[in-house]
Amino acid sequence: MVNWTHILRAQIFSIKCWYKNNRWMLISTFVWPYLMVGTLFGVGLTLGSIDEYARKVGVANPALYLLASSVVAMSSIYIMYSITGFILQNRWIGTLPYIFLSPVKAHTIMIFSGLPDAVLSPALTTTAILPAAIYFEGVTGAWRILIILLIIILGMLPLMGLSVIIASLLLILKEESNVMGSIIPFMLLVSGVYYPLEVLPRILQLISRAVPTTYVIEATKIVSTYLIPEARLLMTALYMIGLLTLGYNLMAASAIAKLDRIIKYRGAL
Amino acid sequence: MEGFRGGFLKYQTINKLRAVLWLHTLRIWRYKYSFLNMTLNLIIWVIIFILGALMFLPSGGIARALPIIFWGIVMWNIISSAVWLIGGWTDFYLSQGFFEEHTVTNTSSFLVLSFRAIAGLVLSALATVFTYAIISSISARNLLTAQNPIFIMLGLTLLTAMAISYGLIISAISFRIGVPNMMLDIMNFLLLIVGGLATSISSIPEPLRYVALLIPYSYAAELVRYGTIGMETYMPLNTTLTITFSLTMIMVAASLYSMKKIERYVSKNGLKAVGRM
Repeated sequence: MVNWTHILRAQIFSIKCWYKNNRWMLISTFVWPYLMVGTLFGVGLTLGSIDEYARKVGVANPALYLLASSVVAMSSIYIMYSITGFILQNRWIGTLPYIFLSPVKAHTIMIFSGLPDAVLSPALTTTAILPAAIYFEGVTGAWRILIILLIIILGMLPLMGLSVIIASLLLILKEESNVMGSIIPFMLLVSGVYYPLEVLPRILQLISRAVPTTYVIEATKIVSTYLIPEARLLMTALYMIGLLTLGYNLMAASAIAKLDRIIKYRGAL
Repeated sequence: MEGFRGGFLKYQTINKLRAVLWLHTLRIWRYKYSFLNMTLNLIIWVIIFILGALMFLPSGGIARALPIIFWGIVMWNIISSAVWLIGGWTDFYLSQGFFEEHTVTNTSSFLVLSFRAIAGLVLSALATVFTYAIISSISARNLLTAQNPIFIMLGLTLLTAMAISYGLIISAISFRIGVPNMMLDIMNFLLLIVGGLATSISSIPEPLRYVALLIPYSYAAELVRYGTIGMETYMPLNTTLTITFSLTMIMVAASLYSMKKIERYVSKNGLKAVGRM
């Protein structure tokens, strides 16, 4: 009998093959955070100064903070795309109906097919910035990055629920690309990924309170700024991530069965 | 008989052009949500980076920098849309088996891909409108004030021609080897700084400046900046103009040549990608 372990194993094997046959994908995972920070630094430094950035954002080491924020941004993208991308790619090549014909429930397939990539990608991107963290702050920097990775993995939990809902909606909408793709950058926009939330309009500040990445960024900022992170601030962020995990996954659980029925009724595969 | 044959071929070509034009217009309408999503996606990323970059500026410097940033983004939008909607779309085109379908109907795949520029330009225009609305809301100066409109038009037209040619070259390469999407993204990001789009060539630090001079877009960008905010070009204006024209011609020729060559190669040897028909 096919169950979630088979899907997980198949997906791990698929990812292994992907990385083996697409070296560029692996290289770009390592280059990407530096590229994002490089672009920001390049534009920023030709127009202003790094001290101004440190003062306005309130961070001790802007380079390390920006690298860590970029990792959070990239990981969020990977987590959400790993689920939605799986659905889209298989629909493109016509294999989706075969996958969904297996006796496992649709949402189990969606979650477990995206899970390996959702864990591996943040691990790879944090590994990518590890040399920079060691260069800037030595062993302390490496510890900070490790804590940030744990926070990202924790932040992944509410995003998984959200991704399953989005993937199901994608099937219903029958568009050629990920029509929900702009949700991810929007979430990063309201999370204040490279800037303080105060620069955003009031309405976006309010929305940011319901977005998991806001708290991941906040925790990242605390961890990458203070030598001994202030426990109260860090715990508040982690507590909010926990709360949103519960909220989004409960919502996903109640929505998914309905969406599953609609997909099968409409033959939307 | 010859006259009849010539007339028939002409009629057939016009019909094909009309069909391809109709295909892309219909696709924009049919996939309007995808299209809107792409525009929003592009714009939101731009806003994220703008807000980040503005944090580097002292309060007084923001007003001065905004027009430069705005025009930099407009140019980047054009390049990015052309690359993604022509070069990046090829992956989708091949995986869906459209190549085989068009070959069967004796229609050049590169004709279909060239007209994809329509979608690219519509996306750039839409993204530019959104960008203008956002940046003008935080700018005290009128972003559209032009010192020399002819140079803006000239710069943007040549830049667009270069971008479409680049998209088609990538598309041609994709027929033979896989072009990783991430590589396109990386190149796009690099262009913003080293391509002389976000800042002028003269303000790029010395070693990178030479790289900027090797990138064709940087010359067209200099013309646009000269036309908008009156910023002096790095090289004398006439030289910049000549180089931009020459580079555009070279890129257009290179794209036509690569398309023809690849099409001949694929007809003989088949595709690397596996389509479904």
